[in-house]
Amino acid sequence: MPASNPAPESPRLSVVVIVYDMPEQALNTVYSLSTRHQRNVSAEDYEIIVVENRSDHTIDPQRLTSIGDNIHYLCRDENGVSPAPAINAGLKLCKGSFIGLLIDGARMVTPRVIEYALQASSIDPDCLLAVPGYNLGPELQHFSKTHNYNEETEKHLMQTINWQKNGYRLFDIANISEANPRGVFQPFMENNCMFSSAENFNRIGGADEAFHFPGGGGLNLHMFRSLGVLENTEYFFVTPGEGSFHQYHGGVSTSEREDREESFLSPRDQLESYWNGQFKGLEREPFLLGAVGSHAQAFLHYASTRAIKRFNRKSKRHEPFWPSDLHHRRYTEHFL
Amino acid sequence: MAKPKLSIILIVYDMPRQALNTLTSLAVPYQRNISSDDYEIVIVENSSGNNLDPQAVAAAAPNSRYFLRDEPSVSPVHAINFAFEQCRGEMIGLMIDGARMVTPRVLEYVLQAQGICPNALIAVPGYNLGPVEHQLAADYNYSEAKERNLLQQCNWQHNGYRLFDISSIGGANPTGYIDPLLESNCVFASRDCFAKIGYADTQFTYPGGGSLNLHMFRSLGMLPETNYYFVLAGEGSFHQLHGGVTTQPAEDREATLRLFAKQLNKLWGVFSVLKREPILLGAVCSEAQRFLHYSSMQSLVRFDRLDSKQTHHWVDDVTRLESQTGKPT
Repeated sequence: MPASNPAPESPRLSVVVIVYDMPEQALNTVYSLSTRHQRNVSAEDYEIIVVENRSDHTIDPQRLTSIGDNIHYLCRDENGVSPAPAINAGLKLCKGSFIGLLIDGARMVTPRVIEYALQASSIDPDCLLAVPGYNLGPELQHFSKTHNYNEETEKHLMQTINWQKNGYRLFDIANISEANPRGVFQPFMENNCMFSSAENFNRIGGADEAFHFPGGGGLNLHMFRSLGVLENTEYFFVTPGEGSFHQYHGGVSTSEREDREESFLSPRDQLESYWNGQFKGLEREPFLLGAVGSHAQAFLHYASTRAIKRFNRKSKRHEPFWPSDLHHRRYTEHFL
Repeated sequence: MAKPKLSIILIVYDMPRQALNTLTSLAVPYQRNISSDDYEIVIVENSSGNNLDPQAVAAAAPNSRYFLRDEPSVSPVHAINFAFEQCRGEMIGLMIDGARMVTPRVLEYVLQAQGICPNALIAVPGYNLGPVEHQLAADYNYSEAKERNLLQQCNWQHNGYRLFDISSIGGANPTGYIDPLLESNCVFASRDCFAKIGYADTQFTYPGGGSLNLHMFRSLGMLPETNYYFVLAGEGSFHQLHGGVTTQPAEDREATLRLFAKQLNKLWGVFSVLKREPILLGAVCSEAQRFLHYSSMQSLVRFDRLDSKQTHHWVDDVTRLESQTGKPT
């Protein structure tokens, strides 16, 4: 059941947000992506496409579209438990030649993500851009139950920082995500706020619907690496001063479940089956793009500390730092 | 020959060996991911008893044009303005001191920044080859001979990022490059922006131009047009030891610097470094990583200090915005 504002005629960028059973978190996410929160961009520059798989807790379409003029909403029925078909439905609606994908609608972003995504696409229309991930709260959300962290405590935490006024304060109440646990200078396992060209999303075949597990299983990891190793993805950008922040909700891989270990075994096998049993993080040299303000600075410092350790370790073993770059024309590491 | 996108001005006086190294570092194939058709190097040398060899210049950088001129004054201002007249690119890089070698992706990133914003201001952080700032070289027994040896050992022609391994942080950015820069000796802006600040102000008649470079850097940064201010985090410009003005030990160095500062303050009231938030651009390779680590640490210290005083981190961003909107922020 689509609800929509008049679309920008030809946005340069489309951001697809996938939602299931998390209306409040998704509204925060969309607000953080909207021009009310994003700086130095206008509603004509981009569109936000929210695709929701119907549940008992769907978003109120009016609340959603009242956030901005560039927001479109598609609520769809889905028999399966994977977001893959919803992603493909979202990709089909994109008018922009550059696309952002947030597979988990619970991820809020900082205020210059859209500006830098547009800048990156102007440098290289086929680049891959990753916004580093963080979790709201004091520790990994898988273990939140054990530490009495829940949606209520998170709501309170968010109120204390008045993030709507300054989204960078999200860094003050967050910890680093398991997708990039050692910071931006290490290979990313995946990225939950990634941007690449519409053509590149086509080249990797969109979201492979064979990833049928809850939450898509290894789908996001597969898509991120597939985009990163494409021959025409010459530049891999990372925004060290921006972040995507996971809000606590009942998702598959971010809430504590007794069967978590078990439910991951099969998706992992599935992922490995696509990569000859050798799936790994994307070992490409990141190109930094963006300012790093006071709130994000400690994370950059941490990333740099870890980078030095990694470089030293690799040097001792005479291993290249960024082996996934080796096949790219702009390969720049001169380790040897 | 088609018009280049970018012109780089290199001012030279009495430093042929160093200037040739600089030229090599600005030329293809040392510079990566860029074609020599994209840019030109405009070398202007004030004649001395120790000039560049034009044939060596052409061999080091075929996309360069070399001008040797007689200059009665001790300031580079006239040479700089002469160079501006020769530039054909819409973007111009100014290197006031020909002794500064650069790392291999400076030009690639400059063109990227220009693609984002044609009026971008782009600064490359400064470093000194060797263990100390060069005015202290003699005290530390550091000499041109030692520097030559260091350069030879690091095989910089093969991998220019190794210059970081044999360098110390520069006096223009002593607490790193996330903190405000005093100046940049490898600075890029549009031709229009250089025109708007009146190119090199000929009042700066002191040796080496005195504080001319600081004046130009701040003037560019405060223009309403330079909305984007980029700093190339993983790149650097590296000063080679030579008989320059502020890098030479002299008993009266302090007095000279006071004279320079006086002239600057006369123009600005009280001169301040450019307090604008830098947008970082570019990869930071293993060799450059320790300086990012240091810069990030220093910026944490600065942010804490300013927070405790409830002072805005980037007051010049606020000033520029207010002057553009006419409203206090």
